[in-house]
Order: sequence, then C-alpha cells, then structure tokens
Amino acid sequence: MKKTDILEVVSRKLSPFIILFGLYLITYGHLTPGGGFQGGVALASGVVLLLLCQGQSVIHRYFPLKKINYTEVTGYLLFILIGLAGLVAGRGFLSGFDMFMGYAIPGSVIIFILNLIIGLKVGAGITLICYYLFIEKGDDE
Amino acid sequence: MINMILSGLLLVTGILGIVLSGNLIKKVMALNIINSSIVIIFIYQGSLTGRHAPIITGEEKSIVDPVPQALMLTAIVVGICVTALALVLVYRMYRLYGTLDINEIEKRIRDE
Amino acid sequence: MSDDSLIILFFALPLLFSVFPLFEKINPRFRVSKAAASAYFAVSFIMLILYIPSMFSGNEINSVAGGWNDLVGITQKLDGISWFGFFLMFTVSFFSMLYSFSENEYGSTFYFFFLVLHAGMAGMLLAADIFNLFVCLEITGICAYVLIAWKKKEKALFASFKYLMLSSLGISIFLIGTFIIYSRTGSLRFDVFADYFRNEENRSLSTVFAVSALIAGIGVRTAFIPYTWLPDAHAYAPHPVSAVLSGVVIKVSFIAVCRIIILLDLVEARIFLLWMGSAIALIGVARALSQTDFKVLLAWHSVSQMGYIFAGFGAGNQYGITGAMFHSLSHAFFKSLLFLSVSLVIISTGERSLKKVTGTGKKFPFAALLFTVAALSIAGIPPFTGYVSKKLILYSLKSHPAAYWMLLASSIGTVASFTKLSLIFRGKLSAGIKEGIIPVRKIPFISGYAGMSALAILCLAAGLGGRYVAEKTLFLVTGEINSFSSMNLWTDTAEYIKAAVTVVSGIILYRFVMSRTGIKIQHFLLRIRLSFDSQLILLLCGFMAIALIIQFY
Repeated sequence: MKKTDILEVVSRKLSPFIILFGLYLITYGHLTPGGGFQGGVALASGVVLLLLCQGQSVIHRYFPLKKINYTEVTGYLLFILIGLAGLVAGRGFLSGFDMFMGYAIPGSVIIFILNLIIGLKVGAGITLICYYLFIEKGDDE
Repeated sequence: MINMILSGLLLVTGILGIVLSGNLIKKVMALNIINSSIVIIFIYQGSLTGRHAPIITGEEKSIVDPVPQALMLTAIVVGICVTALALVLVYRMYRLYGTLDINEIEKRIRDE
Repeated sequence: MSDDSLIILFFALPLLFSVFPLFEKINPRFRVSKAAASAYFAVSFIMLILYIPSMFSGNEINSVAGGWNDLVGITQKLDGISWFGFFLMFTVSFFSMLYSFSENEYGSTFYFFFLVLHAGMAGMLLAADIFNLFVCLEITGICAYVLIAWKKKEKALFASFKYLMLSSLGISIFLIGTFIIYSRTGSLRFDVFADYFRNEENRSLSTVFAVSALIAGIGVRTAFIPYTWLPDAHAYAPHPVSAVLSGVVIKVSFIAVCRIIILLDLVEARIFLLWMGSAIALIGVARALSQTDFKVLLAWHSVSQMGYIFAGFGAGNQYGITGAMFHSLSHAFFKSLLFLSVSLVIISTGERSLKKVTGTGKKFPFAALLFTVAALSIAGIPPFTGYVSKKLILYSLKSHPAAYWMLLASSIGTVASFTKLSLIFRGKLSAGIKEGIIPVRKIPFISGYAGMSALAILCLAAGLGGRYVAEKTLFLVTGEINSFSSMNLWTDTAEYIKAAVTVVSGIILYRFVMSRTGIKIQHFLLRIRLSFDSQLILLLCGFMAIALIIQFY
C-alpha cells in the first residue's frame, strides 16, 4: 500500500503536541489525574507515531536507541535509589525525606520527581517495545 | 446490577474462549478479555462511593474509592507484560512449527 | 520504626543489583552481571544472619511502605516462616547460580531475570496484603516464563506457554477472590480478612468462594492438582533454572498457601490437601517410572515429593507441619542437586535419554558420587535428610492409614525409579559412547562442582542434625516448642528394617518395570496424556472442588 502525504504531514505536526501533552501529564501528575505511567505512555505514543509514519531514520536522528536504552535503565536505577534514600533518611522505603541539606521539602516534591523518573522510564520502555515489535531485526531478545 | 451481570458475562466469554478456542492467539486474547472484565468489575465497584476524583483538597466531596483504581492500574500493567510475553512465545512457536493450532503442536510434541 | 522498615531491603536489593546486568547489556564492556549477582547473594546472606536473633526469639517485624497507615499502605511482614523461606531460597539459588557460572552460556539478561525472580519471591515471602502478593506472584511468574523459554527450544517454548496460560488463569481467579474480599472488608490485609472470616456469621458462600479462589490461584504454581505444566517446564528449562524452579519457586508458592491456610484456620482445605497430596505422590511416581528422559523423570518426582509435602501439611498436627516444612527444605536441597548432577552428563554428552547414555560413572566419578548422595536422600535412606523429613510426615499420618500406605507405596516407587535413573552412572557403558558416536566433552566445572558439593554437604548435615532442624523449623513456622524427643531417629532397628524393606521392594519393582509386562504397562501409561485444554478445565474444576469442600465438609 502506498503511503499518502496526509500521514506524513499530520504525523509531523501532531507528534510534538502529543509529546508535549505527555510531559504535561507527567509534570502535573501530583495535582491532577494522570501521572508518570500515563504520561510516559503518551510520550511513547508520540515517538511511535513518528516511527510508524516517518520511518526509522528520523527516530535514529532524534531519539538514538542507545540513549533511549540508557534513559530506561537510569530511570530504573534512580527510582530504586530514591526509594533507598528514604530508607537511609530513616522514614522507610519510598517515603522520601522532609529535610534536605537544611531545607524543608514538601511531600509533593518527591512525588513530582518520582513521576518524572517513571514517566521517562515508561516512555523509553514502551518506545523500545514498539520499536522491536515493528522493526524486525532478527533474533534478539 | 446490570453492570455486574454484563461484566460477569464478559468473564464467562473469556473463560470459554481460553478453554474452547484452538488458536494460540485467540487464547491469549481470551486471557486479555478475562483480565479486562476483572478490571471493569473492580472499577465499577470502586466508583459506587462517589463522583469526584480522589484528590483531597479540603472541601467535603464524595470521592470515588482510590484503592481499586490504584490496584487495577497495576493489574493492567501486569496484564500488558504477560500479554506481550505470551505473544512473543506464540510468535516463536509459529516460526518453529508453522502453525497456531494447539492440537497440532501438541500432536507433534507427542510424536517426537 | 526505622529499623523495622529495613526488611524491605530483601525486596529492594535484588532490584538494585539487577540494574547492573542491564548496563552490561547496553554496553558489553562492563562485565558486571556475575559480580552483581554474587554481591546480591553475599549481602542477602548477611541480612539473613542479622535477623537470626530476632527470628529465633519469636518476634515478627511489620512495616508499611511509604509511611501510610496500615489499612491502605503496602504492608510487609517478616516472621519465622518467611525467614525459613529466605534461608531455603538463598542457599539453593546461590549454589545453582554457581553452576550457571561454570556452564557459562548465559548472557547478562539472564542474570537480570534471575535477580528479578528473586525479588518477586522475596516479595511473596514478605507480603502481608493480598494485592502485594498478587504483584509479586506475577513478577515471579513473568521471570520464570522468560527463564524457562531461555534457550528457545521447541518444547521449552511450549512448556513456558502452558505455564503462562495456566498460571495467568489462576491469577485471574485469584483477582476475583481479591475483589470479593475487598468489597466485603474494605481492606486487603490478610489479618483483617482473617478476623472477618473466623467469625462464623461471615462464612457465606461468597467469602468461601473468595478463599478458595486465593488457594486455587496460588495453588497453580505449586501444582497440587496434577497439571502437566510442571514436569514440562521443569524438564525443558535451562539446567540451573530447573534446579531453582524445582527447589525454590514451588516452595515459595507453597509457603504462601500455607500462610493463608494457617491464618484462616482452614481445616477443610487441609483435608483436601491431605488426600490430593497422597494421590499426586502416587501419580507422580507412576509417571516418573515410565520416563526415559533424565530431567522429565526428575520433574515428575518433584510432583510426587510435593505430594508428600501437601499430605504432611494436610495432616495438620505438629509432626505434619514440621515434616512438610522440613521436607520442603530437604527436597530443595536434594532435588536441585539431582538436577545439577544429571545436567552435567547432559551438558557433556549432549544427550538426555537413558536409551542413549548409560554407565558413565567412570567418566564422571565425582558427579556420580553427588548423584548417589541426592538419590539416597530422596529415597529416604538414613542418615540423609530425606529420611528424617519423610519419617516426620509418615509419623503424622498415623490416624489416616490409607494416606500412610499410599505414601509408603510411593516411596517404594521412588526407590525403583532412582534405581532406573542411576543407570546413567552404573552398569555398562552405552554403545553410542563406546563407539564414539556420542562425544564426551571434558569441561572445566570448578564452581559448579563447588556448588553441588555444598548442596550434598547440606543434605548430609540436615539429616544428621535432623532433630535440631525439626525443632527449629517447628518454632519458626508455628512458634510452638517441641523437641521431638518421643521420636526415635537413629537407634530404632525397626526403622532400619523398614528402610531395607523399602529398598528391596523398590528393586523388585524396578525388575518388574523393566520386564516385558512392565514395559507394556509403561507404554500404556505413556499414552494417557492430558491435553492443554483439559488442564485448563481441570484448574477450574479444582477451584470448584476446593470451594465445595470448604463450604460443605
């Protein structure tokens, strides 16, 4: 089937807005419905839209696979480290801290940071899943 | 009540599908249907307590029960993982056996 | 408070260490995955030792993640039974992992899934609320499916798929049970529900349904209805994974079921387990006798030995519970040792059937020795560990003579099938090897041998110190104290005569099985197979059966 220009144009215009919406969901996750996971999926859908309509080369230019991989793993590491930091601060896993270097920290800050990390991690992860599903590369995991 | 019956029907559909269908992909889809029906039942039960989003701002509002929503979000994520993995396994089996029919695959394993 | 919340480290540490294999996957120059896995076990052993004083004085530690109140928060509980589970898990997994080091076929992602599998199991042992248990069951499950299908062989893929479908259906049933419990009590904690359920007025049809859904949902993982996913999955998984699956994963699920049954005081479910256990002990042995594939034979023995464990637990008295837990421990030790030592032959010859490989004892003397230790343990010969735990279980069944004789019959079958399996090492060298059609590779296997020897020493030590282990196990699991001094472990000549009679009748049974009529019966048995769809129906029937028994018994 031939690809029409509509896909080409619409996806190019639309995907930045989808990614922006994903970021909005992530950053307002502690105040409104939404949050890291939903926002991450929205982010990923923007990237996947580009991947499907524009082909692989665009993805390789703007979102290099290796960086997406690193984002995912680093997000995972940071999440666990923040969880453990709460334990070190003496309040229990993932409960954050109320004081940091002498400044009081409201509870929503820690939720905001965690949302950010989860959003990036989920976005990266789902992008990778879709990438490997759509682009057959042979017999990797 | 009708909502419960409908989602119960969905559950029964899923169970029948997983048992009766011979096609591997249909089995995986039936598993998904079961999962979705449970999600619907849970969310419906949670929504009975109120009408507002569960964000406590200080005003008195009747909020929906947030626990089922949190639980089901987790269940959905787990369901996605299981489905993805099941599809990968089905795909690999298809490449090895050239068929998606479970009876055919079982027969071939038995004959070896 | 702050000290209590440290127990979550059991769950968080494997996740933390599993990051390193992922980094290695992206950039193969970091060769850290093996080091990370070893470091995880080192740290866990230290934590296990640190908790000894508080566990052996009968404390239990509760903690709520995230500082919420304990009705809505995610609660963890470390008590004696979970400490026992951690001990079993860390020892067996660590030695199996040493084996995987020397097999040296697995990349970084293998260790990622291996570590996350342990996170899932740790979560199951710590879980004090139902939903937490659900999530950890699924983490364990997903990692297990991936690890079973690791080598992408045909049978392994299908086995993994079967396991996935059956346990996902089980988990859906589990979720329905969770739903009923949540809508009744408004809480997901086990102890809240236990208080609710113990009140006779609340034992309506729907709560009984919910409880049996929980038991059946986790029960799929322990295979207490004779599903055939277990033999397939355990037999075709990579070798160290078989050891971990048979040794640890089913035990952890069993501990989760035990917790629920003990907490809810379900006498009726115990009766079900007692009879089901005795039945599957016999079925497992009968199937094992007719197999020629090494690992399939061993996997059917896992089914049969789990039958012992269920029967002991179902008997419900002190001896039974101790016997069941002790037998879980000894089964973990000897079954993983059996899988590993037999796999050594499979690795070096590339064949896994008794028709092709026999009599390799001269070529693998040390593996043959280790295999003998494990085989004597599983057959219940003193002084190895299986002897003590089987004796405890049989002792607990004094008031159920039928179950007692069924278990005795299956131990004769066990002796017979291990006489058969020991053909790998004893007897004449098979023609294929002698003529050089099947090559025998010599492979360096130092850390593998170290792991296996440690398991063999544990088999012997747990047998010799049987009374001590039994006493401690009882204390950890139920908090009761009994030194089992009424049991005569080492000086009772009747026991030795019984063991000798079992061995002799086992060998006679073996002779019969290998005779012409025996082989006909074997072929007949091999033809009876459950198709996958009928197993799904069996799962639903089992669930209904548990519900009916609890409601009407």
